[in-house]
Amino acid sequence: MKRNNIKKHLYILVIHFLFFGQTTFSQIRVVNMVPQLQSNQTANDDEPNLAVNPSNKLNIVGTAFTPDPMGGANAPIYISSDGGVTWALNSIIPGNNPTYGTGDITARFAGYSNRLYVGDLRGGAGLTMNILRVPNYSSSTLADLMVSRANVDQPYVQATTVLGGAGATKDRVYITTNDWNSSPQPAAINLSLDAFSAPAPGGFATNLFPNRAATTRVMPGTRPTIHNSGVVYIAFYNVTSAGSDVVVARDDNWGIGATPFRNLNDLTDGLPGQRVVIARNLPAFGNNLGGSRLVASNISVAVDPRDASIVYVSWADRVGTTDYTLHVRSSTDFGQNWSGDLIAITNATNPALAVNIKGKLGFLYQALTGSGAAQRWETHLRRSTNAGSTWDDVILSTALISDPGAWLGDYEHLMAVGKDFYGIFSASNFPDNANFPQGVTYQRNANFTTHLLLGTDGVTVIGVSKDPFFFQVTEMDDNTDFFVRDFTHTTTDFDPGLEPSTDPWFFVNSDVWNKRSNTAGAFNVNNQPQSEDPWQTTDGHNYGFARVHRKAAGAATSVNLHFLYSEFGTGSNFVNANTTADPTLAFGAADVELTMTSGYEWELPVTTSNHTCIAVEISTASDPIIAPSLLGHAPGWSNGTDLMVLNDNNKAQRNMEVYHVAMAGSAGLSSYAAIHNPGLNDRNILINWNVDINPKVRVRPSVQVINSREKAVATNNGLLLANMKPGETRFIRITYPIYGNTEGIIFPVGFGETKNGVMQNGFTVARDYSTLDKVIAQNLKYESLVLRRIAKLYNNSDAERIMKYDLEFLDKNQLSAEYYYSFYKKNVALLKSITKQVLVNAPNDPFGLFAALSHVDSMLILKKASDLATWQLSYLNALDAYLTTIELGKGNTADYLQTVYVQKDIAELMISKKKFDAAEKLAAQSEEFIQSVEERQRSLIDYGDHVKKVLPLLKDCVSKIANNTILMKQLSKVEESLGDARGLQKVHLAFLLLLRNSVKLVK
Amino acid sequence: MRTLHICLDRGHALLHKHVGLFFFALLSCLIVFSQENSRTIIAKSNFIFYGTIVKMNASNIEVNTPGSITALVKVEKVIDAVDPYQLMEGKEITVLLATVSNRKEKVAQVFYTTGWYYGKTLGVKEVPNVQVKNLQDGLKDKIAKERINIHNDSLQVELKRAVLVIRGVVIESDIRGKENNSRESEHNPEYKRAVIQVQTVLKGQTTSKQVNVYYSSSDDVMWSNSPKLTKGQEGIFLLQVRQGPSIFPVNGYTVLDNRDVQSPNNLQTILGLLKKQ
Repeated sequence: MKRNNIKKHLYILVIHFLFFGQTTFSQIRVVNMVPQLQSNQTANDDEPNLAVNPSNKLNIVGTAFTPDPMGGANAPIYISSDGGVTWALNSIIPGNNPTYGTGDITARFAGYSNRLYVGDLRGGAGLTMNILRVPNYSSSTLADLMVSRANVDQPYVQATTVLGGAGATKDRVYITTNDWNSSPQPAAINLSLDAFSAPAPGGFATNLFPNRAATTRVMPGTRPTIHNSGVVYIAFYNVTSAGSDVVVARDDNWGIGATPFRNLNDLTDGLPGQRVVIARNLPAFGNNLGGSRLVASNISVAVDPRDASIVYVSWADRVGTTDYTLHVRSSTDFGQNWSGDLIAITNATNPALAVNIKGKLGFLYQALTGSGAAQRWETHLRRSTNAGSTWDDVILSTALISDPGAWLGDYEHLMAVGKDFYGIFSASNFPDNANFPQGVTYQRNANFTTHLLLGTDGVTVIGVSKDPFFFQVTEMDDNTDFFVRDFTHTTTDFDPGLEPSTDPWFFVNSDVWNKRSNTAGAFNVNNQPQSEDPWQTTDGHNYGFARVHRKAAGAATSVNLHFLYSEFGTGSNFVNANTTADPTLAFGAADVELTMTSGYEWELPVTTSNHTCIAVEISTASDPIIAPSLLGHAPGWSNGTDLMVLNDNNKAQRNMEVYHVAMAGSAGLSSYAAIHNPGLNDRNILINWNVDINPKVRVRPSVQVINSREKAVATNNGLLLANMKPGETRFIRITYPIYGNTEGIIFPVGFGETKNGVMQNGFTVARDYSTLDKVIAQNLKYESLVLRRIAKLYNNSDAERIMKYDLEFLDKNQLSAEYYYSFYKKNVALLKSITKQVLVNAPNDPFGLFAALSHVDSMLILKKASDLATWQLSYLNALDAYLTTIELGKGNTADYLQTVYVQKDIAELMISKKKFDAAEKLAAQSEEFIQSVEERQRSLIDYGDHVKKVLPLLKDCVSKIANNTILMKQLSKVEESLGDARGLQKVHLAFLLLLRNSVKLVK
Repeated sequence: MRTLHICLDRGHALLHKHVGLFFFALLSCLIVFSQENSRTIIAKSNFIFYGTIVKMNASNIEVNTPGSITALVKVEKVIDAVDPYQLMEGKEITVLLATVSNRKEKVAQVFYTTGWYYGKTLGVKEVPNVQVKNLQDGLKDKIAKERINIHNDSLQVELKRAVLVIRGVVIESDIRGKENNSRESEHNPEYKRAVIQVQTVLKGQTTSKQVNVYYSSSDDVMWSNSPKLTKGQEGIFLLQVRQGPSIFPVNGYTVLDNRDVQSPNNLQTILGLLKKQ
C-alpha cells in the first residue's frame, strides 16, 4: 500500500491550476420529479435515492417514499430516459404500501451492463429486505427477486461492472445493511460477485463485519463505495460505551473470499476497520434538527475514481450541546490515516459525497438556517477542485420549514458520472422561484406567480408537501466536450465520449492511428481508421492522425492534438512523438466531427523498433486533459495513477500489431511484446489473454517469458511476471498457428494487464490471412527495417548489404514462391553471420534466433513458401525484440520521469525515518522537476541538470547510511553519466533502488 | 377454479340421477363462480373503464413492454378509479393487454386494469378476466358494492386475528414504558401505552373494565399507518397479541394495524362480520 502522502493533494492542486487552468463552467438543472399526471398528490416523497446509468447517462432512476398512485400491488420507481428532463413512475417493485410505497430503498445501475439493482424494505413487510434485479429499468416487467431477508435495515446499494480481465462483464453489487439477526447488531455486506444473470439468489451472500470487543452495536446505516480497480470501502458508526466511532473498512479485491473487508486494520487496536474518529457524541434517536429527526444514516463515503487510495468520508455528530455538525475528512493512503476536517457544517443533515472523474469532490447536504418562523431548510451543493482545501457553495433549494413540515427523510444522494454530478433531494414543493436559486422545472401543475400548486385538472388548489427533486450539474457542456473515441466497433456501436469508456480493449479500434504517408486513409466499412506500423526515420516520416468528436455543435474552437508513442506491449512509458508544434483542428460552429487531413509528422529513431503504441491527447481552453498526461507514464492503476485513457475522453491509444501471414501455412508465427513496470515499487504483473475478441475465432496462443530467471506461472489463463522492479522490462513471446484459407480474415489475440480481474492496459497481436506476394513484400520490407537498426547500431556492413538486396528485390516486384526461394537462400547465410555477431554477448540465444533460422533453412529445402514466410517473420520479430532488449539494457530515456518519481518516493521514505536532513529538499526538488515536466516546461534534455542539482542531496543522504561503500560507488557512476541521458537513467535508477533497500533498514 | 371444479364434480354425480337438476346445479355454480371471480378481478383492478381500442400494437408511453401486446385505447368512460384518474375520460392511454384474442381496433369494451406507468400519460395492465366486455347498466354500482365487500373481507381477516374486540374510549395515552429498549433504530415503533375504558366486549372475554393497549407513537414511515391513540378517542378496538416485528417485542394487547381501530359508526358492520365467524 502507498504510504501517506501529505503533499498529494497540494500536487494535484498545483497541477490543476498551473497547467490545466481552473474550469469554472457548470450548468445546474433542478427538476421536480413528480409527473404531471400526479399533480394531485400530497404525499411526502422523502428519503430519495438516485441511479444514473454510466453507459447511457440519459437513463436515470429515482426512488423515494412514493406509493403506487392507484394503490396497486407494486411500488414505483421514478424513471427518466432523457437525462432527467422528464420523469414518470414505473411500478415494478414488488410490494406497495399505499402510503409510502416501500420502506428504505436505494438503487444503482452497474457499470455498463444496463442492469439496475435495488435494495428495499418491502412495502408493508416491515424490516424485510428485498434484493432485486431489474434487467430493464424502463420495462413493465416486475423486478426479479434475488433475496428476501428478515430483520434487516437500511439496504444501500452500490454496483459496477468489471471492465475486462478475468472478471469481465460481471456485475459486482454491494448492498450494505444493518443486520438485526445477530447481536450486537453488526454492519453487513450483502454482496454478489456476479449478479448479472445468475438465478436467485443471484450470487448474493451476507457477510457480517466483525464488531470490536467494546462495541455495543453498529448503527444503521452502513455505506459502501466502489473503485473500479476492485477496492471497496464501507463506512459506519460503531457505538461503544465511550461514544460513537466512525469506522472505515476496506477490501482490496472486490470482497472475494470468506472474510471480506479485512484489508484495513486500525492503527491503534489492530482490529479490522480504521477508526476515523473515536468516541463522538451522536445524538440519540428521538432528537431532531428543525423537526427533522437525527439518525445514524447521516454518513457517506466516496472514493476518487482516478486513484483508489484517495477516499473521503462525511458524518454527523454533536460538537457542542445542541448542534448537529457535518464533517468531511479525507485519506490519501487507502483509509489508514485521515485528515482533519476539510469542512464542517453546523446544523445540517443528510451528507452525501461524490468524486467526479477529474477528482472534483462534491458534497451535498441540507442545512437549517435562520430562527423562529424564519427557519429554513436549505439544500447545498459544495464542490472542491483541490481535495477539500477550498469549496464553492451552490444553494439548490431553500424553503421555510413550516411549509410542508420539517421531516426530510434520512438520506439523499449525490453521485458522479464522468465529469458531471447528479443528485436527488427532498424539499418543499412550494412553487416560488425564490426557493430555487438555480431555477427549477416542475412537471406537476403549478403557478409560480400565485405560488399555488394545481391539481391534475389544472384548477384545483393542492396543498404543499415534499417532493423529490433531481439535479444535474453539468461540469462541461456537450458543446465544449471534445473527445477521441476509444472504440468504434461498427457504424452504430462506438464510444460516445463516455468517461470511463466501456470497452476494455480501448487500444484496438481507437480514433488515433499512424500512417507512413501524409494521408489519413479511408475508414473501413465499420468506420474504423486503418493504421500502419511506423517506420524508422531513414525510411521516411510517420504521420499521426486522429479523428476528434464533439458531443454537440457549439462555438468555433481550435483543438490541440499532442501525439506520443511507447514500446509495443504494456506498461511502457510514453514519450513525445516529436518536439515540433502540436497540430490543431479548427472546429467550426456546426462541426461535431473532424478528422485531421494532414498528419502530425514524427520520426521513429533508427535504433528503435517499429513496434510501437501511439497515443493522442487533445485539449481546448475549456476542455483540458485530466492530469496527469501520458507523457512519462503508462495507463493503469498500478502505476499509482488513474486509467488515464479510459477515464479521460481526451486521450486515446492504439496498441495493435497486425502481421500478414500466408494462407495454407501451418507454422505458428511468434511475435514479442514488452512488459514494463512503470510503477514505483516491485510488482507482480499478471497478463491475461483473450482470444474471444472475435468470438468466431478460436486460437490458443502459447505465451512464454523471455530471458527471465523467474519461472512464468500460469494462473487461470494468464501469466504472472513476478517481482518486476520499477523500470524493468521483460519480453513475452506469443506464438500461435492458424488454419484457414480465406484472405482478409484477421485472427487477433488480446493481451491485458489485469489486477483484481480488471483490465488496466493491454495490446493486441493479430494475424491477417493474406496472399503470398503480400506476405513476401511485408517480410522483406520489415527485414530491411530490422537490418537497418543493426547497421546503425553496430555499423554492420552485412546488414547493410542484405537491406539493399531486399529493397532491390522488392523493386523488381517478382514476388512468386520460386523467386522468393532463390532470393532468400542467398540471404540466409549472411543472416546467420549477422545473428552470430549480435549474439556475441548472449550466447544462450534467449530469443531463439538460430532456431528460427534453422526452420527457415528447412522450409527452403522443403520449398514450403507459406511456412518459410512465417518462419522468416518469426525470426525477424525475435531479432527485433532482442535488439530492443539490448538497447533498453543501456538505459531507457522513456523512464526518466518514472526514475524521478522513484527518487521522490524514496525521499518521502527518508523523511519518515527522520534521520536524513536533505530528504525534505530532495523531495521538493524532485517534485518541482516532475511538475515542470508534466507542465511541458522541461523535458529529457533537462534531466541531467536535475540529477546534477540533487547529487549533493543524494550524497548527503547516503552519508547517513552505515556501510555505504556500494552506494557511494553507484552514486559516482551517476555523476559520471551526467552527459548521457540514457546511461544516466540506467545508473540513476539502479542507485535509487539500492538506496531504497538501505533506507528501509534504517530504524 | 377450485369452486368450479367442485361444483362440476357434484354436478356430474347428479347427472346420473337427474339431468334437469344437473343443469340447475351447474348454473348455480357458474353464478357463484362468476360472483367470486368478479370480486377477485375488482380487487385486483384499480382502474376500470370503458374504452375504444384506437390502435393495436401501439403505445403512447416510453416504457418497454417486452413480450407483451399493447394497445392505444381511448377512455370513453371511467367506471372505477381513485382520484384523480377519473379525469382520464376522453384521453388515450396505453393498455398492456392480458390477451390479444377478440381485440379489434375501433371496438369498445370494459377494461379491468391496474395502473403501472404514470407520466405525461397513463399506462395500465389489464387484469386477466372473463368479465362481460359490454358496458352494462348498473356496473358502476355493482363495483362500488364489491369494493365494500372487499373492504369487509379485509376487516374480517383482522377480526379473526384479534383476541379481543371491544367498544370503548381511550381514557389515558402517551404512557412511555420500558418496551423500547430492545433496539435503537429509526424504525423502532416507540411503543406507548394507552388505557381503554371498556364499554362493550364484542369478541373474546375480559373481566376488566379497563385494558392496557400498546400502540406505535413513531412517525417513521414503517409506522405511519399504525393507529395513534389519543385521550378521549372513541372507537372499536381490535386488540391483538404478538403482532409487532419479532425484533420489537411487546407483551400485551396491541393495535398496530390500521384496521385495528374502527369508527364506532362501523359497529353494525363489525357485528355482522363477527356473526359470520
